[in-house]
Amino acid sequence: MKSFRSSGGRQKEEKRKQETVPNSTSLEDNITYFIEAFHQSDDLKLRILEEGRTVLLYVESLVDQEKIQNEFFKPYMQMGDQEIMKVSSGKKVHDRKKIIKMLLKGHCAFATDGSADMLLFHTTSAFNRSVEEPDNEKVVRGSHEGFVDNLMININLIRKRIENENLVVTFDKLGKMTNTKVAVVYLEGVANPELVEKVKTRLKDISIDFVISPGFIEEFIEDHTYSPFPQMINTERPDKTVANLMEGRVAVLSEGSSTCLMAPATFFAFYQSPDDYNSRWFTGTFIRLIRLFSFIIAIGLPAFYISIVGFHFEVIPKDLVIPVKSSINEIAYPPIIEALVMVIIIELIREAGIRLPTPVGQTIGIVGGLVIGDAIVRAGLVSNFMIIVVALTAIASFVVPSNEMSTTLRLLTFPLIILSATLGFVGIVFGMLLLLIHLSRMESFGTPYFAPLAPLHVKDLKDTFIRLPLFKMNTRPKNAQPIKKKTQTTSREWRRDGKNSK
Amino acid sequence: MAKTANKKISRRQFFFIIVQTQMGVGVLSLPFDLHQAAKQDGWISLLLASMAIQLIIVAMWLTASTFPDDDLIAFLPKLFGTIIGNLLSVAYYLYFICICVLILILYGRMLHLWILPNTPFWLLAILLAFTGFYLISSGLLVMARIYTFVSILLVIIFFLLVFALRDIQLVYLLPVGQTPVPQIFKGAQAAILAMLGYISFFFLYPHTKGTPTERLKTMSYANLFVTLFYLFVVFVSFTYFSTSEIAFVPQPVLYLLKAIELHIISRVDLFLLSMWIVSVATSFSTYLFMASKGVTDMFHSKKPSRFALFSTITIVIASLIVGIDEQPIDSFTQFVTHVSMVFSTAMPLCLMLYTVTIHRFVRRKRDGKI
Amino acid sequence: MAKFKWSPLVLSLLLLTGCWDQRQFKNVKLVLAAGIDAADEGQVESTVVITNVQSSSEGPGTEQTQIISAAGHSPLNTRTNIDQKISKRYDQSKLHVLLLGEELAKQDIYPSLDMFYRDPKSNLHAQLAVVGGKVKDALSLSVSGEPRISEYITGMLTGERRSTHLPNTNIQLICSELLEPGQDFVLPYLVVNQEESVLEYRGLALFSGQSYSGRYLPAEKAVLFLLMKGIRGADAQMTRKIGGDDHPDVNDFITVDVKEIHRKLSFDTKGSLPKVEMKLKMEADVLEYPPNHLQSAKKINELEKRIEKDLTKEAKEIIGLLQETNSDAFGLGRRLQAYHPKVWKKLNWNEEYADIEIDPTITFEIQSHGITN
Repeated sequence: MKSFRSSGGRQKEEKRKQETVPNSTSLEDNITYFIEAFHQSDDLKLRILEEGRTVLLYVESLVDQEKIQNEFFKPYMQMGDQEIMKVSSGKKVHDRKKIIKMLLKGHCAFATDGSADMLLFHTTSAFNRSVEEPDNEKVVRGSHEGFVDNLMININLIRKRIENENLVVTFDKLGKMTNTKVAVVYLEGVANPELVEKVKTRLKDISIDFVISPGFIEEFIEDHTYSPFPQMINTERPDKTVANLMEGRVAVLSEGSSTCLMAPATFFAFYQSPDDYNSRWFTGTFIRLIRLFSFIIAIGLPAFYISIVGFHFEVIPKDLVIPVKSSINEIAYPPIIEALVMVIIIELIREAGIRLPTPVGQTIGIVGGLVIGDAIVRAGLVSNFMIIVVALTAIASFVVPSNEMSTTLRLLTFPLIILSATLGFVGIVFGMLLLLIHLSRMESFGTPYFAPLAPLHVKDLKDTFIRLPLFKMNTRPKNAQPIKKKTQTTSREWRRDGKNSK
Repeated sequence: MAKTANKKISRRQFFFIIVQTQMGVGVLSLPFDLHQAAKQDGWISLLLASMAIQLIIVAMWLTASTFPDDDLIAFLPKLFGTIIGNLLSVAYYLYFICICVLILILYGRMLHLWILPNTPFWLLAILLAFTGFYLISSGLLVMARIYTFVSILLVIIFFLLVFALRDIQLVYLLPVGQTPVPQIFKGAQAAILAMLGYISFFFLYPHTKGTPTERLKTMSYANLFVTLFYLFVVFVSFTYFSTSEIAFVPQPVLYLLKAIELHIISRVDLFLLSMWIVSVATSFSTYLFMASKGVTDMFHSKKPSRFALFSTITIVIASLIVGIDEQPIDSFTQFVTHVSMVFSTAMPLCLMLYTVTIHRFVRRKRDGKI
Repeated sequence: MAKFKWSPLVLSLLLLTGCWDQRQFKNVKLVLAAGIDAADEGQVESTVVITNVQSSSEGPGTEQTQIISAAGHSPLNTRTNIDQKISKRYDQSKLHVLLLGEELAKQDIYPSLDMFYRDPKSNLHAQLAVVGGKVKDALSLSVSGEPRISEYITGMLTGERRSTHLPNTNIQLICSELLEPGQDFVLPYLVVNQEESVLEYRGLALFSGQSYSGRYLPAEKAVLFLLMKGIRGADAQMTRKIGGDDHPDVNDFITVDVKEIHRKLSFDTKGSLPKVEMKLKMEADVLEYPPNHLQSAKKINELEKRIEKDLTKEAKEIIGLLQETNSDAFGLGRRLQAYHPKVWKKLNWNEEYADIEIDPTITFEIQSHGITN
């Protein structure tokens, strides 16, 4: 915490960096210090080699066990703890700050009682594994790494991005029979302790025989199970996880799954993508607005169209009257049937495309999209306009970066279609109103789900509807309930210094 | 949800609750009502009404700030003793129920006239009533959030009306001041009816953050906002329709939008009507909230949703009994107007007088004795 | 709270029970143009043009029009009679044009429009026009190159409106003036040219109160009339003779486009009858002037004087015609009421309008003369 206070300008910060805290000669003091510095994170491993005398310290997720074996244990076995202090591959350090830094880089530290020096060995892991980009969360620019199915590697991916002793990892076992290892990750000093406690208690309360995927965990710990909306952010991207941790969210990872859950989530969190921050902020803002607009299209467009052709065709502007009329004139079924048929066909195509291997999947898309679409219009089952409307709806629902939200949207189309087919515009209004009430009364781990719109936080709109330049985002968004509001002081001091500094 | 119930609403939310409660069913027919009474000088009536309401607001504030933690139902017994206090509370409960019924039937009537002539009223009533019930069962804080959010519709309504400005003729506002004063006052009464929601101040005051003066200020801003918005609506309708034409058009706001064709969409009135439903739903919910809050407090019950459900069902049944035919609606409106004059204007003033004089005196005397 | 989780479900079940107000767009017979004529024995005869479209999977479908007319006691009564002649029912909520027959318009036109004002579904921005002769003939015209008569007429009226030959009129806009005392309105006056099989725009039909006065303002005077009303479309061209003798040639004319107009009305209420003074200031561009030499200020001044005189004379003629037909299309009465309510109360405007003195003065200014002199 002390090191994190951002009260000063640049000079103070530099001063702070040079500060050194010498190690104590007592082993116990040292160990307690490090454990506290890491906020009792579960992945800080202490290996007591000789009770009360020598200890090996390392961050489990960052080190390569084999390297420890080679670098440390082999010489240690040969020489014993007195001799090893003289070994060349080790580095003597007695500054605590420095040691913490090195531990976070994946070094392991050997400490003996009575000596202020600790011996550091380079044991950084270099996993030879393929961290591929997750298929359903691709970005154009930016990191292409993704989580894998191994918990330790996943934590390593996070630790690598946040080299900070305040990142706390705690482990837990879930599943009475499977004993699946689950990790809760958060940033001490930023994440709200109440929130962390809430997540941990809810996790502990789970009493189930087996946990296979984070989907299980999510259903047990979310606030409103009877809601169609996802209430935890769900990602396979380390960079997204890190960004959310930095905002003060808590992440839950589990062994054997590459998905990371994060709480609290708000509705708008599902509309953000790392891509927004990799492109220029104008572009980011534009894309984000498009995405939010797609929400309206995805749930409302078919309903709107149905109520127009079924109830209020007065609304059609005068130059469009004849084209619409000629398109739907000879269709046998009422628009609601048309819409349902088309929506279901699209879902069928989508589902078939997922199950089949990629090349075949694409073929199905083309066959489904083009051939069926064309033939169904020729056959007079569905009108041209309905095809346009439903296709647009489907595309709009796929624009959402999150897969869960996209499914939810497609599901929500149905009640609105029914409402609009019975009451026209009035039905849509009531549908939307009920939806709005539902969204506003939901809470995800104590955060209003529809924030920052309801309740309105004007300050937080800067990163929901639009994306302002990063140096403007001086405060963390309220919806992650962070206890530390500020993210930065002036990040562009060169600007203020005038032209001389350029 | 229990947690959110105890939290106080911010002053911004307070502002929007008042605005959304004040604006409701009345807005579509307000220009017509004003014109009926005061001809083209109706806007003067509106300003008069607004000033009268401002007075009442100050009166309510004086009363409410004496009881900083109590809403109307809670402080009535403290003022008048248990029996009279509870009787008054019951009267207020019935009054709120009556307003809910009125809102429901006026809304049903409007939809019947404009878009859904064949859909049965019971369905529309149930839809609105249960939307309101769903809303209030989430607690005041959630209501506040939603009211704030849907206020964006007011901006849209404003811009829709701006389109009508092309075809207005300012000359229709003239001559000014030709209406006799009693007529103008009659118009003011009609205007007060369209701005009734201010009574919710009694219920929101204890649940709002801020010092008493700040809250009074916010309330006054809300009143000012509603007045300005109404003034704009009245201005557009009075200048778009000629003086004799407006007498034929009971819903001038919708009617003038009906004649506007935009390039992307025609019949803008249907959109306005849809947005108006939201406005109706919000003011309906506030009254329903006040009614069920009142009755819950009276019985000191811990299960507010039970009473809310009871009130909702009562309202739906009552509105079905009144029905949406022209005649019963008119007489019911008359009735509610008279009752409102008592409960929304006379009562707050009386309460204020009683509080600042007798109550204070009695309390001082009692404190002195002890 | 768990109990009420089911309420949305119950609501949606309720909804599934029916759709009462459904009007399928595919099932209606669209009427885009309609007209009303006076018939014998006080009856009215309506004519509707129904557009039937045949859908096709590619491109726009083919269109056929059906022209049906029937007589009845009232416009809605004729609708019932028309419905008996067609399949399904016709729907006029997308009506584009409503034509009124001359004979009908000479009676009160409000009864013919009442059903539009009263119906929430009606299209109030349908264009209105008076047809010299029978509406039925106008709607039965088949104009080559114009498949839809409704589009033909709206296109024509829009064109006239842009060139300041027509004010913006539709069913709703005339309603104010229809009902308001001291304000009258004008409608486009069309005639059928059977030889060429086209409709022709002739001018503005002058209404007095709620009925057509029987006379119209010819199209060449319409521009000045509208400018006097303060209305200007996209452009306002006027061609005027400025010299020459009784055998004018093309060199004797100038065409100007009025860019700006400022109108000032003042009432002199000292006498027994109010006097109206109408001051108009126009600024115009010269569009066509074959004699050239517009660089000298003197020459321009001369021209301006000439045009001013000409226009003032014409304005007087227009006002004369309006007073003759007792049509207060400038809304002078309403303005008198607005600014001098006491005087208005004493007057019986309808009868005295023809006798009041209206004095137009026009100042004309040439502000540019194109890219040549």
